Amino acid sequence: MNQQQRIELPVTSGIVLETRDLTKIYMQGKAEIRALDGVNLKVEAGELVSVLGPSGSGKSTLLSMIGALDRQTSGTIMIESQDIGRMNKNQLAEVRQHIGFVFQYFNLIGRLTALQNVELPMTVKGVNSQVRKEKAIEFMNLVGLGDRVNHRPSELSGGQQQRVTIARALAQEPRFMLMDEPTGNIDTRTRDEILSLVKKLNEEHKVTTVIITHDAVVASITNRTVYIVDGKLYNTHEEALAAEQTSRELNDEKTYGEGGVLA
Amino acid sequence: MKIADIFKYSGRSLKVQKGRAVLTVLGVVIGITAIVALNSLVGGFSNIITGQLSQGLSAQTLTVTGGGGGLAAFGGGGGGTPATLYTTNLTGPNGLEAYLKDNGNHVDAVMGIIQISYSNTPNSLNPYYYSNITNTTKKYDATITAVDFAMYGSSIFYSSTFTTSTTGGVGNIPTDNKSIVIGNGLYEPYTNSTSAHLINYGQNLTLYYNLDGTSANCSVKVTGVLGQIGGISLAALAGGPSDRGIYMPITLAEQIFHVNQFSSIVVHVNSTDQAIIDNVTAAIKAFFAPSGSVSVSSATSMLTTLNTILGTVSDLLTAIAAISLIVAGVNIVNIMTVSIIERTREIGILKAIGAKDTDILGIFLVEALLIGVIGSLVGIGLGYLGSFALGGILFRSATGAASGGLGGGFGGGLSTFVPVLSWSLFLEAIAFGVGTAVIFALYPAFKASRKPPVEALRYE
Repeated sequence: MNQQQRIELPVTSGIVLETRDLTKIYMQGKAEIRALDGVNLKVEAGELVSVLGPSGSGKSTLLSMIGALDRQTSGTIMIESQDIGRMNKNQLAEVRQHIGFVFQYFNLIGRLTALQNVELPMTVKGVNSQVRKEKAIEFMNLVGLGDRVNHRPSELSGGQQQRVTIARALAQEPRFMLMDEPTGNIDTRTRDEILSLVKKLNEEHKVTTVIITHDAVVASITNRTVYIVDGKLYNTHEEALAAEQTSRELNDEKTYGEGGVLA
Repeated sequence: MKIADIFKYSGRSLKVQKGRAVLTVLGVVIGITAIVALNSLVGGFSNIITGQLSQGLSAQTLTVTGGGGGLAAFGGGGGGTPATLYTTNLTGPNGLEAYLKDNGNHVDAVMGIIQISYSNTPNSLNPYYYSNITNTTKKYDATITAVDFAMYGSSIFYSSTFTTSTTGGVGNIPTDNKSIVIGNGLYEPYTNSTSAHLINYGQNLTLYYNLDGTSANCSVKVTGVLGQIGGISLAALAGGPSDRGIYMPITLAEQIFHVNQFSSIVVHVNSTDQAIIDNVTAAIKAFFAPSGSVSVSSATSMLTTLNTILGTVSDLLTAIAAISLIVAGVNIVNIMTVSIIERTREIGILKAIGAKDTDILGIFLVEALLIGVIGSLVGIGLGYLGSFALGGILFRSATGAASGGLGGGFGGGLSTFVPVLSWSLFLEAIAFGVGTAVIFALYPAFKASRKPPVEALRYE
């Protein structure tokens, strides 16, 4: 039997993730930093969405919020119709058990083998060791690393490590996968392989995926791209460009004064 | 996370950081080793004392002394003017024996013991003394015990030790009221030995002493050497036989030293019922009450007092050893804090995949628990072995240095020293080791569990 056909990933429907007027304010000394400013985002089951934005635009903050890693200042985050803003720490941890994180720097645990890393989310959930081992092997096969199960992360290439991270995210039986610059730390050729894998998982296994990136090539494989500039989300490239232009002018004004040198 | 998985995960962490884990465990090992070694040592010592005490002194044996001397510390203290135990008080129609037997018939035998010490000058505790024995070049501080040989060697009292028919014994217990018996430790059959000559069987020895203010001497014949007894006999302190004693019939002592009082009187009660023993004790005190107070002690009270003293010593030693456990605990806090800082990102990863605060707390506490368990088990093993070594060092020197009666007794007993590792000590050591490790790990583990996931993931 084909290994890939055996995989059973949860099939969700409807809106998986929704933010309403999501705002996050950090205090830097006495200065208020508005990292997210009224973000409205809706992701439907089976979608492959990218959030594209330059560094400092609020991408990482958005990831922390929708990944239930941090709390918003105001607004609402709904994951499968549940308002996570009202949840306590334990409930948030349970929500995270079903979010498949893929990080730029892989974030694998070095002393564990690839297989043990993939087993880890199931270990946290208390899945029986035999079951989780079998499943972990299946996920390793799915990402094409069936022959590397007993290797430690340090014995794997960057691309292979990222595949292990994807297998670990799949092992969470995720409601959606949340990828933070998934190709930011690997070479171009490997990037294409990883992106093909992500695309394949979305198309063949209907894995809902949100990719947060500054790389337009990465965003190009997704079905929909939204743009983030200065903590605000835009649905079209034009809107984002206009916002970026305004932002730049404002910054220049701040720097050089109204009617300054570059005005 | 399941408990078993937490154990597996924590075990793996320790395995990977072997060097650090070994150093952390070492702290616990040192503390537990010290506790177990010292307690096993005291336990072994206590066993010897208890064993020796039980020899020849049963709960049925009551020792009567006048006021505060000798065994008074073990007994229900005298108080008031100490009574003198005149030899004339013991037997005869108005004597203690008749008084007790009339008073309920619970007494088998009553025996007076006179102890004459080696000394150069008289003192209030030892009014009778001898100052030298001539037929040797060596001086003795052995105590001369004057008793009724027949009674002393009877099955009621010391038939098992006051005999020449056990190993090492020579000659007979004399019945002529003129000869003396020596303990096996004073006997030296090898006349050509280069070591200092001791007393030989069949020889006369001359005792120099002070009689009513004038120097005097007398010659007595050694006609018996007791078999080896071994050990300290606290029974010997109460007048029982020991390897370093000289034994003389009472009538002979009366002739030589003009003794008219006993050092102690031993009463054997024919029941183990504590109420009866208490009655007899009260009766003895009542008998002497007109002339003063006496102290009546039993083996049971001596054992109780000694065990209390040894228990206190043991607690004190444990407290001293526990200091090293506190040091180990501080080391655990230090190492775990560093470890948690190093593993911040790991904590973030675990939280990102859904681990709860309690899972993280569990992981770090189980690591501490494993350190405590391993440290305790190794410490118990090393401590037990260490107590043999320590016992060897301490008590071999005790044997070597022993020359006097009591010292010789101690040395003999302690040469067979076996440390004691009881179940309670084993469990206490585990509890101490694990408790220290877990308690000191609580704060760093709690801190780790509270790390916000987003901060932990960003940690470089």
